[in-house]
Amino acid sequence: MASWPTTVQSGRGVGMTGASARAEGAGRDLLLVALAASVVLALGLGATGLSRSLAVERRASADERVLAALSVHVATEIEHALAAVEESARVATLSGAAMPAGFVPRDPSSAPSTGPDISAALRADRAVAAALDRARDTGEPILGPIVDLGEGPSLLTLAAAYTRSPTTGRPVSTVERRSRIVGWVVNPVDVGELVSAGLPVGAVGSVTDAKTTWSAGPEQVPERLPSDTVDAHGHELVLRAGDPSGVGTATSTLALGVTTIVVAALAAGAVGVGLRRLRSQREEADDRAAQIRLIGDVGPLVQQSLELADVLPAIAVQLSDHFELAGVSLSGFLGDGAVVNLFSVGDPPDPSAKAVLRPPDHLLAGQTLALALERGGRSVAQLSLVAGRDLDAAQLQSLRAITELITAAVANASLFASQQEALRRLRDLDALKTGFLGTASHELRTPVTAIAGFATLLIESWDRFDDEQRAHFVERIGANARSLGAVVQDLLDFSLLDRGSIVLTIQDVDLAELVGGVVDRLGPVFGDHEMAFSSVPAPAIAGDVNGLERVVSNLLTNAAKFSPPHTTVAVSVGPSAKVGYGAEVVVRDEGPGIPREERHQVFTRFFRGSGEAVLRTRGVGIGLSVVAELVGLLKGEVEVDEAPGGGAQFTLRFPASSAAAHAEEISHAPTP
Amino acid sequence: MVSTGTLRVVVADNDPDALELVLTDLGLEGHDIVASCLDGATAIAMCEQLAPDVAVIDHRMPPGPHGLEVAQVLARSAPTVRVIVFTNYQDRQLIDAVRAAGATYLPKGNLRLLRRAVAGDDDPR
Repeated sequence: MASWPTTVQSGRGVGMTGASARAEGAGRDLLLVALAASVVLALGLGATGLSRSLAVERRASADERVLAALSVHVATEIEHALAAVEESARVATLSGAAMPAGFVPRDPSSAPSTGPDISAALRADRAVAAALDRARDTGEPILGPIVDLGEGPSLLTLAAAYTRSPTTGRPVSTVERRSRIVGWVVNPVDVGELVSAGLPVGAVGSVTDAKTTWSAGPEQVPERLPSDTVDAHGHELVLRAGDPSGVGTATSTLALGVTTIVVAALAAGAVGVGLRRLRSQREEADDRAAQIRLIGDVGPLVQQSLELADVLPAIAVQLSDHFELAGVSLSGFLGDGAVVNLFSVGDPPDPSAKAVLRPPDHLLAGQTLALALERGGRSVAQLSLVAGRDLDAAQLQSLRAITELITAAVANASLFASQQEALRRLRDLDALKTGFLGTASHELRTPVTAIAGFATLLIESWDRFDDEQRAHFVERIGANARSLGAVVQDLLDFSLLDRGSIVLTIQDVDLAELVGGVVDRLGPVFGDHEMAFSSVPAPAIAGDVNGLERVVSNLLTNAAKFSPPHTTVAVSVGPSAKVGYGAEVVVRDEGPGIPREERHQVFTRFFRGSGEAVLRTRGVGIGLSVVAELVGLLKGEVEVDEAPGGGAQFTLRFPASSAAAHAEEISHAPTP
Repeated sequence: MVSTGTLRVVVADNDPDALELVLTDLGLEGHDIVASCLDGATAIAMCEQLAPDVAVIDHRMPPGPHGLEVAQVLARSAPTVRVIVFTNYQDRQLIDAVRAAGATYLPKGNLRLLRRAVAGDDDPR
């Protein structure tokens, strides 16, 4: 026996007789995906039966599996019944066809077109009358109260039918619905039959409404069995079920549990065409229930996940197992439009498969389905599936529902990654700022300490020093004052650049004259270094004198700072051979040079090299960044290379001023 | 306990001006500068070898060991040497760590305080 006789304990019943037009088929397939998530999630099955874990090997108890199957079955059948009653009412509205069985006409005196009249008895029930009114006013199918139509308490499903409007079809407002109602299609759902049909061999189960209990099985449902509460459109149904006989416990996975129960039921040997059809329907329903459960399992997990790497492999295994896929791969799109493979397992997808938003009606084994995952109208990823067997429309719709969940996961992961990156940058910036403040305050204090110290020596012990010592101390005070001034100037420049408030006065500048002037001023300061300046005629450039002097001064100071005493700092000015530039300045020193791996960073704010020469010298790490930023504002460029002798070589290039460029063109013009 | 006599002193600072200042000032005070250097590693070697009464050590002296490390090493290898970490770094953690190593922390900028610290004033500030 595949189904048990049911017993009903009811606290009320209106004792009616009438048609029991059980919902059949209509709209069933349409429900699959649309209802999938809402059914499972709204039912709250996770509280008792359905594990949210993706672990394929996880075991669940036989009782839980039975309860889960019953919950899904009851919920699905109720949804089917509602869809069927809605469809019947819609057809009646649109076609004006003969009213179906179970029809309750608006006018109590009108007889139904077919079947027995249950309308009078139904109208007498206040709760039914209220449900009829609600169905009329909303135009939606309603799950009504429990009534007894002579075959035991049943749940009523009802939907209003209206006269057809030649222009609008179904009415769109409450006022219109009230004026155009012709009656209601009312179908009772035999809950006892649902319980019986939703249980595997050997299992027992019950469904309890507020006042009614339907139960099925060879014995009373023991209290120890797990229970589940289903909110079926306002009806709180408590389901309790289990498998006291232990049949079906050999199944190892929850994912396969329902299928196994069906197989076990079929193996029990029941025969008869009607029963086979019922089982075929149940098998189909169970398969879909498994798909629903898969969606229910995957949904919360992927939507709460922040790291794709944590969930993608598990999801891929689930999908592959359930739909017998030969391959699953997920690709993401980088900001520049480039495609990056995020995850791949099994057979590679057909690269020629074009990404689609909606799956086709069927997919043959071996074919690739490339689904575009979109969020806010923007492609975020592409899920490619290689079918291991033929897939029908319902299965492809289920896959599509899962891809929607994966889309959410990809979007979550992307958002999380960008936030992590922003956080990391903020932390780096904070560390940089802290380091900069420490270094800057040290670099400011150091010359101040020296100035104050030498001054203290002179004040307190003037007579104990000879003239040469006094002159030396004064010279050190001067040098440290210049050093302090340079640090302060760098900080000021940096601050102005940082705020974008530096003011440049652009005019034609003769670079050779400007650089020569800086060398003359700095020469005496660099007492330990020889300054070698040379120039050849070069076009004038358009620049700011103060800014250019800061740039050249910084480079010369740097060259002297990082090269040994008594070496030469060479500066040359001449025309630039590089296209787009008119003149250039080259500064070379004979120091250790800048390691190749640090050259791309030397113009970065706060960067200080790791070489010994850098470590032994003072510096805040903003001098060269000020140079680069000023040069950029002057539309020039600065490069660092290795000097012929191994030291550092900095090259500044600036475009010729428009006047100079014009003069250049004239001088190169062919003689007429 | 404050000493009024001549003390044997080692001075280390990677900044030549700062080094010259300390050497000049402590020399004027009558102390015997037994060694001076520009880095921490040499300072450790000098102190272990010469066992001075006092070592005046800068903190930041790259690329070798910094002043705190010198103080920590000398606390084990030359515990009789009074170490003064004399620095422009004014960091609470550094101050605590120097004191935890049994050394004296003294900010640069005031030669009179340095003289008192070298002489042994436990709280020169």
